[in-house]
Amino acid sequence: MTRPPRTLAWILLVVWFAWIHAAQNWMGQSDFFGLATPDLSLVLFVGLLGVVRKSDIFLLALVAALARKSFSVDPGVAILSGLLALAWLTLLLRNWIEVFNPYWRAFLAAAGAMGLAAWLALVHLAREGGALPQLDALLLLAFSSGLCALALGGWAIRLPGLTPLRRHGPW
Amino acid sequence: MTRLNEVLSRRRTLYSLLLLVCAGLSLHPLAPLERGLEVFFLPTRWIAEVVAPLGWLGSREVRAAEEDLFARAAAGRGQALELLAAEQRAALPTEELRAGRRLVHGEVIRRSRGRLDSIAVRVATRAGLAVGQPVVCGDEFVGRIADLDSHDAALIHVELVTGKGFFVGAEVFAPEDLERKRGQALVVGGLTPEPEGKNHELHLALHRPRSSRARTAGAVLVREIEAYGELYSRLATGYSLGQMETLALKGGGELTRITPELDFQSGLFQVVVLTPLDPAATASRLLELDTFVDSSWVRVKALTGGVLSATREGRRLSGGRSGGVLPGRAVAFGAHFVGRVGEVSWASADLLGLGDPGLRLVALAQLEGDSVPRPLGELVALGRRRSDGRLRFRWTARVEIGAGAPIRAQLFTGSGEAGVPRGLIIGEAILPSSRGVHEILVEQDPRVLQLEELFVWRGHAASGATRPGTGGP
Repeated sequence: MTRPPRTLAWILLVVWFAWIHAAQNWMGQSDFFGLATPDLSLVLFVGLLGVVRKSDIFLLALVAALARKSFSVDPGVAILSGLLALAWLTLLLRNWIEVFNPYWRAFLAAAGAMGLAAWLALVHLAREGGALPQLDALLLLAFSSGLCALALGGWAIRLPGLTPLRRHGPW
Repeated sequence: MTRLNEVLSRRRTLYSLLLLVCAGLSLHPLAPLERGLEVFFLPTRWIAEVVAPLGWLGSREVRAAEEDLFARAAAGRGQALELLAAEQRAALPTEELRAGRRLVHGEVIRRSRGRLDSIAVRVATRAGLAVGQPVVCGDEFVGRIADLDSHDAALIHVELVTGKGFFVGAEVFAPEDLERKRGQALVVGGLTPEPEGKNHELHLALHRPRSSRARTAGAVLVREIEAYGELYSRLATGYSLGQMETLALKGGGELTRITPELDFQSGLFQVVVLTPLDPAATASRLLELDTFVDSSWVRVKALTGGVLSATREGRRLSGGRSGGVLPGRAVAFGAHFVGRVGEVSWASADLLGLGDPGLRLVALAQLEGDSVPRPLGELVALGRRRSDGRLRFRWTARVEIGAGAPIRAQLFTGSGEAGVPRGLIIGEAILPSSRGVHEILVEQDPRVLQLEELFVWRGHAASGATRPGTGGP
C-alpha cells in the first residue's frame, strides 16, 4: 500500500526540483539578485537530507543530480559527485548533530552551496580551462543560500506531495 | 545485528567507492564511461520540459527576436560570403609567384592543440596533389604536404616550417638590396627558444656555418636547389619566410632568428598548394564556400531555462547524439555564431555560450576601412561583463594588425577549429593593433541567447549540395 504514494512522491520531487531550478535561473538572470542568488535547489536537497530515511539518501542524491543536470551545462558526473559528497557528509554528521535543526540546516546549505559551486568551477577549469572560483562570489552564494535555508528550509521540506518521503522513526 | 552492520558497512564502502569514481571521472573524463553515464542522464531531456509553460510567457519576445534576426540573416550571410571570398583571394600568391605553377586552394580545418607542426587541410581537389608539394599562404611559405588522408578524399596533412625536423633552403637579402640580387644561403626550419620568456611569440630558427660575414638582418626567401631538395621543392622558390633579426642576449652573445608574417599557432586559415603545371589535372581551383549550405546544419530546440551557475553561460538543447549533434560543433542562428556544443547525451546536449569562461574559438576580423579580412587567431572567453553585457576575451596577437591606434572591427569565426565553420558573425570589437596578450570586449546581439530554434553544424556538405535557402541557420 505504501509503494504507490512513495513512487508518486519521488516523481513530484522531480517536478518540484524542476520548478525550483527554473525560479533560481530566473533570479540569477535578474539584476536584483545577480550573484547573490541563493542555490534554492540545494536548500531543498539539504532540507530533505535531514528528514528522509537513511536508505533513501542515495536515491535522493540521484534524483537531485538528474533534476539539476536538466538545467545545467556542468558535466552530469560532476553534479552527481558533488551531491553524493554532500549527502555522504550529511550522513556522517547525522550521528552527531540534529540536521533538522534550522541553524544546522542553514549552515549545511551555506557550506554545501559554496562547496558545490567551487567543485563545479574546479571541474570546469580542469576540463575546459575556465576561471578559478572567486572567493567573494562564493561567500555571497553561501550567505544567501544559508539565509534562504534558515527562512524557507522548513517550508521547503513540507512541499505538497513529499510527505511519504519523510521518515517516521529514527532511521 | 552483526548481519545488519555488515550490510550497512558494505553499502557505505560501495557508496564511498562510487563517490570516488565519480569525482575522478569529473576531473579526468574517460569517453567509454561517460557514454555509459549518458543512459543515466537520459531523462534530463524530458525533466526540462516540465517547466515548458514558463517559455510561453516570453514567447512573443522570442518570436520577434527570431523573426528580426532571420530577416537580417540574408544581409549577414551576404556580408560573410563577401568576406570569405576576399579572404580566399588574399590567400592567393601575387602574379609573379604564380607563374609556372598550378594552385590548389585549401582551408585549414584542424590543428592539434599545443602541436605547432601539423595542420589538416580540406582542399578543392586532390587531383595532381602529392607528398612533398609546397604549401603557401599569399606570398608566405607555410610547409609541405606530409600525407594525403586515407579516409577523407578531400583532406591532406601539412607539415609546417615550424616543425622540429623541417628544413627548407633559403636566402637572406640585405635590407638595402631591394632588387634581391645577392642572397646569402642558409637553411630554415623549426623554432628558436624565446629568450625573453615571451611564449606567445614564435620565431623560425636558421641553420648556417658560423662566419663573421654572415648577414644579421634582411628578408628571407625560400630558395631550394633541386638536387638537394624534394621533387617539388623548386616550386616554392621566391616565397617569403619572414624578416631576419639579431638580438643581443642578456648573458652575452646574440641570437639571430626569423620573424614570420604569419601566426602559425592559430592564425593560419587559408592555404594554397603549389603543384607543377599539368595538362591532365584540372586548372587552379578555389574551395567552394559552404558555411551556409542548408544540409550542413541540424535544427534543434533550446529548452526552457538557462544555467544555474552565475558564472556560466549556456542553454540545454533538445537534440543529442541520435540527431547528429556532436561535442564541439558550432551552434548558430541567422548567420550569428551563438556558441559551441558541450556535453552531449543521446537525446540532449549542452550549448556553451560565448560568455562561458574557457570557450575557445578562432576568429577573423574585418577591420574598419579595410577590405581584406585579417586572421586574429584564438580567442578564449573570460565571461560576460554584468555591467554592460559585453563579452570578455583573451586574445594573443602574434602579428600586428595595424599601426598605432586601436581599430574597430567586425569579428567572424575563422578556420582551423574542428566543428566550427568560418564566416559566422561573432560581434563587434575594438582591437589593439600591437602584438601581445590583450583582453578585448566584444558586443554581441544579446537576443541570440533567448532564441528557441537553433542550428548545429553537421559538417561540410558533400559537393553538389544546394546553396543556402531559407532553411538555416
